[in-house]
Amino acid sequence: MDESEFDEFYTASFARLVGQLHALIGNRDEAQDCVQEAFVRAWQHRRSLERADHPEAWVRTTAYRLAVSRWRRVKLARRPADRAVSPPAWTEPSDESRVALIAALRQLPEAQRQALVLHHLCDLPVQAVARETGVPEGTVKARLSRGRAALATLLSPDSGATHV
Amino acid sequence: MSDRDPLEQLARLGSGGPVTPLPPAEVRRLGDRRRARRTAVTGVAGAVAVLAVVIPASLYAARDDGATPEPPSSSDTATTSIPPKDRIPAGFPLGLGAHDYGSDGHTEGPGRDVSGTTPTPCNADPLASRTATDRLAFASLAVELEDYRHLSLYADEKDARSVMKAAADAVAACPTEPFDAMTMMWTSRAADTGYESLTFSQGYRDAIGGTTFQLTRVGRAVLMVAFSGEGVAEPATLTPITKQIAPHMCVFTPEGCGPDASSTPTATTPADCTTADLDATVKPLDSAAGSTYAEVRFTNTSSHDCAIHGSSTLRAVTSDGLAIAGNTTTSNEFVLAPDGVATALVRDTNPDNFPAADCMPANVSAWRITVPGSGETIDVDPTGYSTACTKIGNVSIDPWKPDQGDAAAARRAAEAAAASARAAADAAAADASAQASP
Repeated sequence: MDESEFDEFYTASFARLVGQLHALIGNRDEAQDCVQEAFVRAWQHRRSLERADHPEAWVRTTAYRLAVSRWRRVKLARRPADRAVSPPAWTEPSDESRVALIAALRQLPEAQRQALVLHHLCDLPVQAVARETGVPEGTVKARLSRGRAALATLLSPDSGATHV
Repeated sequence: MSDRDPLEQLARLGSGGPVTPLPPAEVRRLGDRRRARRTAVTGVAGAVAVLAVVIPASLYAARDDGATPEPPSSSDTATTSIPPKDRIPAGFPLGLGAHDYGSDGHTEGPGRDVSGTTPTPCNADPLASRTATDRLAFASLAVELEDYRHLSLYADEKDARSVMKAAADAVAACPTEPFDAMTMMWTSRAADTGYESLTFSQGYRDAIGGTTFQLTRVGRAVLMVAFSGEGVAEPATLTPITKQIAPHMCVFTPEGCGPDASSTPTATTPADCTTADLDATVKPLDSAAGSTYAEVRFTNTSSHDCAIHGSSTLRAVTSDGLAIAGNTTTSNEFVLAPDGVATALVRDTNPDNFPAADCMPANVSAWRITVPGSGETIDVDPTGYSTACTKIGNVSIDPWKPDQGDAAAARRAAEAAAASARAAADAAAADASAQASP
């Protein structure tokens, strides 16, 4: 991957990946930081990226791991002022259904949230979700089915569970 | 009512607003700088220790580039408000035994302002359960490891004892704790430091990552040593560090350190081997029914002894950077001398043995192996074993063992080289004297 190919890949996919990671982790600032860092690593390891069938999946997985790891450590380090553990500071114009959706996703188990976001937002087939998360397709299907049901309940108009 | 359909909403979520990426050239510059540093550090051809992707890295990126000034180090000016009796003496060696990660990591402190992890099982905070009169902290941070030490000095021994008890009670009372959508687990661990100590780990039921803590009381001070990383560190990683620092805590006892205190601190066990100490190569072995075998050989390229002890995990990494679930084994403790070799057998069940749908084969670019005890990973090039199943684990690793034959061979080779160098020097000397004499 040469400089112009990388720049094109970066420019074309940055915003999309931030949106995807936001849905995965529920915090937009963290999402942007982690995607940024993942692209630095992508260039650093561009030879392996070249061999990758799905460079975007590589960056997304890297960014997701960074986010999860960072979030756990920050929690443990008890830095209450850190935005990683603060309620998300929404910088975009508030869109109620969007906020409700992200809040509901955050309440799902990590594995279900990951499956839902990869399949529905990232538009990956079940097989690709299985590959990206390292579990069998049957497990992905089960997570999707449970996740859909849980999300529907959380977002149903009669449910008081959306906290918005 | 499709606009209420959460899945429709999810599919249309988009990027969620404006983003502010760095210019692409800046991203490449940052990547190039790290690449250059890593090459300089690892240097050795063959197995390259590409450290895995887990850390609060964008915080590091700023430090790496010198954009963030170093934290202030401890100095006596910061302690003028603390009475001398309640102060940790200047120069207390809290950073003893820290591994040097070169430019791949950095250290902070020892200093009063260094921040890091302290244990809080179910929101209890044992170290703060009594008022500390002074504190000192030290951190050594590498790409995927965090070595954090903390020393609290309390008003008297009674307070320090009750802090230890509070910690033991807090861990015992908190086997699990909900953490977001996951379950955090607190587990007591066995370790013998020779002092009054408490060792425990914090991890997650269904996820990687965790911290092992070791608290040690000497007199009215409590030392905490903690390792955080992708894996949960074995107590054997922490105990040697505690054993090095604890003797210096005699200053916090009523008896003091005694006349021969300066000679007391001695490390008995070498520190655990880290990726920086080891060079790894893959040696293909014979095939058996349906399986091929390879030996991964780890050579201690450092100039010091290091210990192998604890669990090691193997995961195959596909060419698009995804780590496939592998297996974990536990190795018995042994010490690897400089140039010594440890070996681990890897079994690769031929992916062709499985129906493609069950296996879902993918190209493999590396085997990612955790160095026992340290939690660090080392990537080795799986030459000749380039396919793995992503759906089932077809690659597994056996415990690490010392390769006695090879260490002896290396020693013999070194002796032979030295002997031939001596012979050459003698010959040169004889030559020179022959020429010098008319």
